Amino acid sequence: MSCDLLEKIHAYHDGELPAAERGALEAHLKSCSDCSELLNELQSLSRVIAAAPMVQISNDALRRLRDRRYVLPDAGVLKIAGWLTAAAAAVLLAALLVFPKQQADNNVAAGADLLDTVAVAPPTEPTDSNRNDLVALAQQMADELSTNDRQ
Amino acid sequence: MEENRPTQQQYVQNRAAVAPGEAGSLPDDSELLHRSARGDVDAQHALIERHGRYLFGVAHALVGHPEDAEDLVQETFMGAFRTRFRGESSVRTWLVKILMRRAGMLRRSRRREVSSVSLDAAAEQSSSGVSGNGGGMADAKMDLSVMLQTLSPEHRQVIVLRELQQMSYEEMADALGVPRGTVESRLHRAREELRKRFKGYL
Repeated sequence: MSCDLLEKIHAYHDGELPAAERGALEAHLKSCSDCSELLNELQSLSRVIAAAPMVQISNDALRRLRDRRYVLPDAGVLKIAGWLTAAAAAVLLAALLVFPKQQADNNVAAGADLLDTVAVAPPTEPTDSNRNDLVALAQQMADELSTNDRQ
Repeated sequence: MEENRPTQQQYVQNRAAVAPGEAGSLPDDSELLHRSARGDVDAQHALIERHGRYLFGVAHALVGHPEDAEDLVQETFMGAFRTRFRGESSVRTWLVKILMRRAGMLRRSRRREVSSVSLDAAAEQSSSGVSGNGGGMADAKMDLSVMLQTLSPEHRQVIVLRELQQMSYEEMADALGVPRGTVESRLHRAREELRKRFKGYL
């Protein structure tokens, strides 16, 4: 079975195969026992997973979940954090305007020193494995700020 | 003995029983979320009552430890109460997305995920009363956690999102922050592994 066909059978099972390709695949399934068997197994697998019992949370754990105090960010603190972020951005922008680009180009070390004075650099370059986490964290921080602003 | 533990299907049916519109004056999930974000403890409790059990089942299937699953669900609710819900999906699907993200963070920070359990060990656990119902191989229902523990964490994620949440490939790509092609290849490989391991059940 070709990889292309394999992908199409999975997509067909998931309802993701474009309508224009369904007819041809259905015709093939009628004439190919290997492919129809694969489709049957995928359907069976989905049923088994959906019917699989899930581990239940204990009463104690559920009570702990309920009783935990979900501390939400204080509006004042968030507002101050927002101001600080805006202030840091303004300082950085002002510094870049004050020191011409040419100077930075001619003296990379001096530029790095300048940036060190206005921003805290991360200790290491983010790796691929944690880049998504950082993006997600930034998104969540933005959402939290936004949520708070609405209140 | 835990004879009647709910399945994904039963959770869906139970959820439908309290769906807005059928539940009369009960506030819907998005309203409860809004109240929760303002610190309404009753609203937080109501959401935990509605979704806590299901999220724990999903979390346990992902991480394999009850303690980690509990932490994960707590962090999920904390994140949910502090994050704006945009109404692009059901609240439950949105909660599962948060849970997925938190599970990834937890895994990378702790580095003690159960990476792979042998089928023999999984079957033994299943019949020990910890999470299984024992019985013959032919008619026994394999626990979700046990089934998925044989997969890598990335493969567990796609199975949960697709088979339990019924997400489209695009939705899964969005939830996991990976390209659609990656979702498809992970899904194929995960299913292939499950088909091989649980041939007798299919």
